[in-house]
Amino acid sequence: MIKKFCFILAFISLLMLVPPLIQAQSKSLYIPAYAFMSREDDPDRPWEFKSGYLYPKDTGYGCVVVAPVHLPDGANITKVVMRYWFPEPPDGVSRGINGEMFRRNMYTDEQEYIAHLYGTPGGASWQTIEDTRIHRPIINNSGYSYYLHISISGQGDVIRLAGVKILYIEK
Amino acid sequence: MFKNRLLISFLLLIAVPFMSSAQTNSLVIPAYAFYPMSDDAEWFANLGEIRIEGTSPDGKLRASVFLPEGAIIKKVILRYTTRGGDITFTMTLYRRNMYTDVEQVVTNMTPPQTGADFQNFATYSIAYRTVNNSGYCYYIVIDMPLGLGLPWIAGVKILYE
Repeated sequence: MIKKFCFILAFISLLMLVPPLIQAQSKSLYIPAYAFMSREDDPDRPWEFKSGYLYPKDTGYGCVVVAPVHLPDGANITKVVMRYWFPEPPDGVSRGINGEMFRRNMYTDEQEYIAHLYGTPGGASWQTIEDTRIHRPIINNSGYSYYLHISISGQGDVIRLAGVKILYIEK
Repeated sequence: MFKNRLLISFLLLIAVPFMSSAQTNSLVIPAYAFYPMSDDAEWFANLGEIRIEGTSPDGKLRASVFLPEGAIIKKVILRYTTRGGDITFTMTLYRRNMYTDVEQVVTNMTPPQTGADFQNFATYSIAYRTVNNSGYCYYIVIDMPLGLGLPWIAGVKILYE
């Protein structure tokens, strides 16, 4: 009977251990293009959406868009991945897509860089660029807010943003 | 007898967390989470309910949706009013694959016309119920017709387990 009791105790202990182990697995937050808004109301930098992606309008000079990032306190960011479309410019016009993740101090208003995603031209297909060298990877929601800042230069539906995925390990 | 009670207590201890994990939770996406599809939207107002003017060049609104990994979507509710107008519009919850870029419809609804007051319209018809944040992002698109006196949207509620 004591054996049975010990077995049950061991089983319960195992059950209590398993959830923290599962929680330590990598999780993802995929921020869609539809979460982004203009950094400012700039008539020279208009943008619009099509089928879930964002691109600068023909009438402007690119666009700068931002989106808030909400991650659990204590989460450890391991990777930031940007999904974009950037074919070789057909008209020789200089274009680019540059993404950054920042945090902003709630008390000092200092903005600190966390990850950088510099998109390079490829074929006419969706591609990803990732940054695994994360600066200040531990989320501290008591002192900071987090956001993504993406700049697309050049006009028209040439460079597209599909979204940004953040991989993290929950505390 | 005592040992049996002890065993039952232990079993309950094990069972309770699993039972409680099946609770229904809600995510409410307020009107203020919705934005127009393009940024030249002088015709757009958000006063706790989203309003688009009839003179608008585009009647589409979008909002991103963040649900917990592994959540099972059970029901989607739209709060809206067509303000007595003869208006048909659609609300679609999409997911988009991070690797293939395929956009899939999770649920789509065409709510009936209403009087002046706000009302709820719900659907249980949901595809791809289990939330997969490692491969997909999720968002809502509301597509309204133009020039008919447009509906006002107060928000969307998603019930999940």
